[in-house]
Amino acid sequence: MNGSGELASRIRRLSATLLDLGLVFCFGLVLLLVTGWLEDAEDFAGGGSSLTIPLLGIMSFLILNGWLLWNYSQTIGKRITGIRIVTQTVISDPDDEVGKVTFWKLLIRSVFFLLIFASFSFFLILVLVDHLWIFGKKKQCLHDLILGTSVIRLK
Amino acid sequence: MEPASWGLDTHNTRLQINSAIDVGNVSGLQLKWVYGLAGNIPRSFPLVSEDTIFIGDAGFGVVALDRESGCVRWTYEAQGIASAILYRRNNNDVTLYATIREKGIVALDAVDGMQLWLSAPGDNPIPMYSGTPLVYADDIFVPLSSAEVGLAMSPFYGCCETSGGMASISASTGETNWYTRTIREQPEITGRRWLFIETHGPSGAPVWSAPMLDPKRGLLFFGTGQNYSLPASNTSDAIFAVNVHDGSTRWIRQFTKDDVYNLACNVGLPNCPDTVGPDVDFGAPPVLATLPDGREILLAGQKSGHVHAMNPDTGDVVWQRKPGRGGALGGVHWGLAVNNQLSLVFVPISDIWTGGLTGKGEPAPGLHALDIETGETRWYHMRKSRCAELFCWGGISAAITATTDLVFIGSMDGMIEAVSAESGKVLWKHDTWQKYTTINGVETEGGAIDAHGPMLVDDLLIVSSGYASYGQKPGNALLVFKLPEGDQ
Repeated sequence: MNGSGELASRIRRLSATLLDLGLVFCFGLVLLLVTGWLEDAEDFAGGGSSLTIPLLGIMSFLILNGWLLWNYSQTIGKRITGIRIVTQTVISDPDDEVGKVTFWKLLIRSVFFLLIFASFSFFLILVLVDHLWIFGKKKQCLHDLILGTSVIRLK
Repeated sequence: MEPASWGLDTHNTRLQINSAIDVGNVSGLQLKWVYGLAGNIPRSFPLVSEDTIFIGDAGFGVVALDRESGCVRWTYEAQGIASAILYRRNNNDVTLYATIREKGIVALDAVDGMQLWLSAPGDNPIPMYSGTPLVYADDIFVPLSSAEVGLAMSPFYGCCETSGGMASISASTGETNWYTRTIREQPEITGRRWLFIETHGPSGAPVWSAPMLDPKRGLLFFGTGQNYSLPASNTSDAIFAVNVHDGSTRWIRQFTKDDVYNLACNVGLPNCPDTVGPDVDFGAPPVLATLPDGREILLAGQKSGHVHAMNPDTGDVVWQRKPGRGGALGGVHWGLAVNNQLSLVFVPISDIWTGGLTGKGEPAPGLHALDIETGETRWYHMRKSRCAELFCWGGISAAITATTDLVFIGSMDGMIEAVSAESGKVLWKHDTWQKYTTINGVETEGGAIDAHGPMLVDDLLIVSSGYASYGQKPGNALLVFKLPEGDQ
C-alpha cells in the first residue's frame, strides 16, 4: 500500500484523530468494565488509579490499532480516512517501500496520541503545541518533525 | 496556646472564657490584618500562641504567622490540610497536629514546622481525614471518613464497601492504640450491574466532625453520617459513645434510619440508591452541657434541623427540638455552642435549599437560642438573605463561637456578626464581601463563611471567609480583628 506522495489534508488528519479518540475512549470503557480495574476501593489505594487509567489508554490503543500500525502504518481512523504514516523519504519518492515507519517511531507517536487523554494540567500545553505545528507548510505536527514522519493520502 | 481543641474545651462547648471581647467593647473591634489563603474553600480554624497564629491553608499547607504582623514564620507544605491545628505540650516542646485530607494526621515541631511523623490509622484503603482530631494527654482521637462518597460517581465503581471509623493513636509516635469501625459487619455483594460490576454494602457512616471526650465517664462521643449504599446500617446518622481506653461501644443512638446517599445522586448516576437521602449527617460534634441543677446532658445538632438532648450515660433522649427545616447542608451543619451559665445552647441554622434533599417546612435561617433544660426557644435571630440568588443565602452553616455574653456567627452570605447571648441582638458586624489588601500580597476577596467558623482568643477574633463549594461564594480571606488598645 503505497502513498500518493501527497500530504494528507489537515481536515483528514483531524478527522482521523477524532475517530481514533472516540474509538479508544469507548474501547477503554469496555476494557474497564470487563477487567473491573477501578471497581473496588483497593484499586484506588495510594493513588493507584493514576497508573491504571494511562495503562488502560495504552492497552486500548494498542489492541485497536497495534496490528494495523505494524502492518500498514495506519490507525483505524487513518484507514477510514484514507491516510497513512510514512517517513520523509516517501514524500519525494512515492514508490519507496523502504519508507515504512519503524516500531519505535510508531510507539512514540502513540504516546503523543494518548497525551490527548491526559491533556489536563501541564500536558494541555504540550498537546496544543504539538498539534498547532500542523499549520506549518509541511503539515507536520511536532511529533512528526521530531520523528521524521509525515502523513500522506493514499493513492 | 489556644484553643485546646476544636470545641475549645474537651466538652466541645465552643465557649471561649478567655476572650477579652465582651458586650461593652465589641463595637470597637477593628480589622488588624488580612492573610490571603491559597485555596478558596478554606477550612481554617487557627491555633494561637503568645506570638504566633498557626493556620491550615488547604491550598498550601500549615503556616505559622506572626501574631502581631501576620508575616510568615514558617510553612509546612501539604495540599489538603482539612482540620483545625491542634497541639500538645511535652515539657518545653510543643508539637502541632493537623490532618491532610487523603494522607492522614501529621505531627510537626511548632518551632520550625519540621515533620515528626505522619500516621494513617484505620483500615480504609481510601480514607478521608476530613474531621478534626482531639488531643488528650498522650492520645489523639482521629475521625475517619471515606473518599467512596465521591468515587461512587464513577459508573464503573461497585459502590460501596468502606466504613467510617474512629482511631486512637499515640501523640508521641502516631502508632495506633485502637481503631473502631462505625459499621461492624463486613460489606457483602449486593448486586451486579452491566454483567460485570458487583455492588456492595453496607457502607458509609463516616465521621467527619471532631469527637468529644468526657474524662469523668471515660467516654468518647462522636456523630456519624449517612450510608453510601444499601442496605442501610443501624449506625448511620447516629451518636456513638465508646470507651476511651479501647474503643468498645457503650451505646449507639441512631436518629435517622435508612439514610442512603452518595454524590452519584447529584447527577443521577447508577450508584445512586433507589431511595435517596435525606443525607442528614451529624456534622456538628456532640456537646456535653451542664444543667442548672448540676446534671449533665449531651446535645447534638443534626443536618435534619434537629437538636437532640440525651442522657450521656445511656443515650436515652431527654428532649428533641427542630428549629430548622433541615437539608443536605443543614439544618445544623458544623457546630453548636453552649453557655452553661445562661443555660442556653446556641443553634446555627443553615436551611439553604438543596434540591430534593431540602427538608420539609418553612426555612428558619439564623441563630436560635434554646434552653438546655427544656429545649424551648428563648430567642431567635433571623437572618435575611442579601439577594435572591442562592449564594446570597443568609443562613449559618459554619460552626459558631460564644463568649460569656456574646455569640459570634459567620453567615453563608459573608457577614460576621456578634450578637448578645442574652437577647440575640446584633451588636457588631462586618461584611466580608469585599476585596482586601493582604499581608502576603495575595489577591484576596471574602465570600461565604462556612466550616469551622470564628475563633476567639484574648483580644482577637479570627475568621476565614470564602467557601467555593455547593454554590457558595468563593473567597480566600483570613481575617484577624482586634480590640483597640485600652479596650481590653
